Amino acid sequence: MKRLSFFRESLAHYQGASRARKLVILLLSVAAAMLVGSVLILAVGANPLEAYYYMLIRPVTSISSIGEVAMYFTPLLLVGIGVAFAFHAKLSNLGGEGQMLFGALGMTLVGIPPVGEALGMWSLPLGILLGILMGALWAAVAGFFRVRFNASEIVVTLMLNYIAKQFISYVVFYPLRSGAEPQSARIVASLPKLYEGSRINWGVILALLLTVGYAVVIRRTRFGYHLRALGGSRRAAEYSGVKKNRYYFLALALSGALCGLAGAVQISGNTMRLMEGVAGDFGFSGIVVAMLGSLHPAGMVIAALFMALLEAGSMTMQVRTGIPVSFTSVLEALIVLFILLGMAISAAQSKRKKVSKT
Amino acid sequence: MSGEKQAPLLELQGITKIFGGVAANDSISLKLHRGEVLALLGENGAGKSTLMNIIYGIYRPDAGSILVNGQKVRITSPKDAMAHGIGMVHQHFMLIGRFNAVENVTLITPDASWSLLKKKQIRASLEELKARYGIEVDLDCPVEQLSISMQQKIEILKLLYTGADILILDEPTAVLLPQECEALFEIIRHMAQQGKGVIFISHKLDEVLQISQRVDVLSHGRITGEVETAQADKDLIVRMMSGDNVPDMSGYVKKPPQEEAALSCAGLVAFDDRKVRTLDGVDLTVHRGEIVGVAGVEGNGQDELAEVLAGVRRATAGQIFIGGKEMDLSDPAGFISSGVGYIPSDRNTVGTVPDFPLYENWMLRNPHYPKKRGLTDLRAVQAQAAQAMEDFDVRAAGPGARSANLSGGNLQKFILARELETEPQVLICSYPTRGLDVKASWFIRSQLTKAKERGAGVVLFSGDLDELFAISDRIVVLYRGRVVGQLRPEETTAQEVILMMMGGTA
Repeated sequence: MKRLSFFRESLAHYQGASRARKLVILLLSVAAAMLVGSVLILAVGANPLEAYYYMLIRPVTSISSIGEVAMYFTPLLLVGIGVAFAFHAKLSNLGGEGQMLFGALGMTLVGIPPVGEALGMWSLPLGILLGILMGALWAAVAGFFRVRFNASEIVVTLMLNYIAKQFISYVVFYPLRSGAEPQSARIVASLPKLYEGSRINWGVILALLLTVGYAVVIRRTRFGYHLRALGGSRRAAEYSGVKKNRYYFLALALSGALCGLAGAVQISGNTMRLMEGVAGDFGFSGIVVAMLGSLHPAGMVIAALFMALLEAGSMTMQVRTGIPVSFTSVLEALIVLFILLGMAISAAQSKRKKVSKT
Repeated sequence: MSGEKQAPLLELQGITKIFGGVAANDSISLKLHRGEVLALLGENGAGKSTLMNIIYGIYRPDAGSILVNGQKVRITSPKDAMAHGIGMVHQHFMLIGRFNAVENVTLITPDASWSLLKKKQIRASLEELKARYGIEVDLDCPVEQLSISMQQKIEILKLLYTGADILILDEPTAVLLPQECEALFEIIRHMAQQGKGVIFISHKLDEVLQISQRVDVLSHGRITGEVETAQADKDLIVRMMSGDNVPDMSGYVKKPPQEEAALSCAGLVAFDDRKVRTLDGVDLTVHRGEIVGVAGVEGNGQDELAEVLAGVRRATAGQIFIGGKEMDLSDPAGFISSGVGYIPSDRNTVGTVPDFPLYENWMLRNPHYPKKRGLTDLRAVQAQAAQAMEDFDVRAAGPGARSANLSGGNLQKFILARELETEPQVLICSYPTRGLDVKASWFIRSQLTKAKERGAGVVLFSGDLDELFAISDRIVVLYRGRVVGQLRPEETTAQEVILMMMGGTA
């Protein structure tokens, strides 16, 4: 736990660092991760330049592969801003995966026949709303434990993932099973496509609009202000009349709502069915997006795009160069490690300065 | 003193350090002799700490040189400083709480071997140092269980153990009670007698006159005066510090308060964070246009009373009326909207969010900050903050400056400006001038009297009796969570108030 709180301290400090300093830390982290990644690629006997080409450039060379990038980009960005809301209040939501699964379940419940057919065109918006709601409720469980028992939301959100995963397994194996495979029936209404011949759909637009919404809420509303004040100094926020428990609860619920939406979009824009593992690793990659984007709206868009390219390109990379797909996870982990290292160094530096300040 | 003929223990020549275009130290030269206590006096932000950090190797000077025993030395880290016999007691102690004094000293010995034998040796030499310098301290108790003043003594022991000849004490009395200061001075005198050189940093004049042989005054990064303490008097030094006559409250005439109550409370009971009942039935009335000073030995319920009256801490029993209206004790925002301004004792993490730019801290506790179509109007907020900073002489790089980078006085002025912006009918001030220099304190006090004259009811918690006597219309004494006395400053004496603070009856 001490490690985790150190992480949060570093993050909090990092939030206060200047924009230039943040950018330097981030770019250095990505560069360092890619450099270490190159060593690994060389170790398996492949060419790093070729590998990075397939990961970062190739995915944007055709409209259909851009569609694939979008399949990753949308949930990454949604989970990213979801996690970011909580981070502002110095809360760590590690439960994006579970919240996504419940969001996906919400969409599925309203989307599959016969409910979906009965609702017709309303099944999509209602499914999305239900997904948001269920994601929020799942995160609110952690919020409740935090507020009522002062239990660490880091642990609770993380543990709730396992419960959610087992529950969804049960659901697709038994009550919602349709056919031989453990998966639900196909949903009736999907997110409309943006461009024929590619899988890219309105989910991207939704995610981008919500990112703008995120920016406005965080920077220009009293709620966002209080959230940040709470994260910056709990006692200052209380001094300002903020009821901290209410905000902790709301921050986690809002964070879960966006992750739930990511789950609903995953169903209605990508898989069309509920199945195990439908949330992928987005719960954690979303945290990387938030960190890499340093909670800045545009930064998170760029980070989500970068991560989406890695994910979308990894398959081609495996086929062409023989490097396993899991290399992307290694690269992500390296990026996180280097960012944390950078934050810690920067925090230590400024602490030293603080001690010796006039 | 005696070492005039030989080279000074420590000499600085033309030390200059520039931070962001501002000279924090501007060609400073000074000398410290053996057996001498040199006081370095200056307001907050005058450059004292920067200078000490240069001597101690934390900063490197942009120009100038440091001489130890007449030899030019290069100090690039605290390790170098220690090797040259320079030791420093920081304001924040560098001790491991779970360790006792002997273990803490063992930790800093270069060949830290943990054998029992070594510990025994260290223990023996610490006992010897204790005796030689008259330092009374428990060597076996874990440091975290010792009082602050004891911890400070251990820090000093640590330095003496490393053989430091030059001891820098950075505002050592800021954390001590009056009687503890006397013990510290005794140790300092002992050290000087044994030929050590001591640099004593402070902004408290009386102390400096009491302990030092020589005073160097630092102002805006320059040495503005040097005087033998024996020939110095208070006025002279104050003039050196500020460059002109320092305003004080001596010309202030108290206007009688109005009849109407601005704040009243009855039967307030509250618990502190450790669930100790620290407020035990407080009744108090503050009239419009009145400053009520609250005196008491620290820890007798002042912090909780301030927080409860400001609505930040919830009283478990009792009532509070603001302007005749009963307050909902569970609703801190209600206190704000009813016109209660609050200056908390901790300006760094309660009064402001340290990582926020100033203009964002301007919005703290301020429900009426400018908005446009329901959203924060950042430009207008910045303009308001900038205007207030000008009015209250807050010196910072601008409204976008990070709050944590402001000096104590400037931050306090900023908080005061914010709390007075809405012309509150009640103003709760918790130790508003603690740690501030003469000028900033005067500014804060005169603003409080202005608020009073405007008709606000002011509750002033202070540990500074002079301050309480100078501007309060009434002084109440808090003892063990109760009001044990109400006095008029012109009808009482400091002795009487102190007696009541200690639980005696007047």
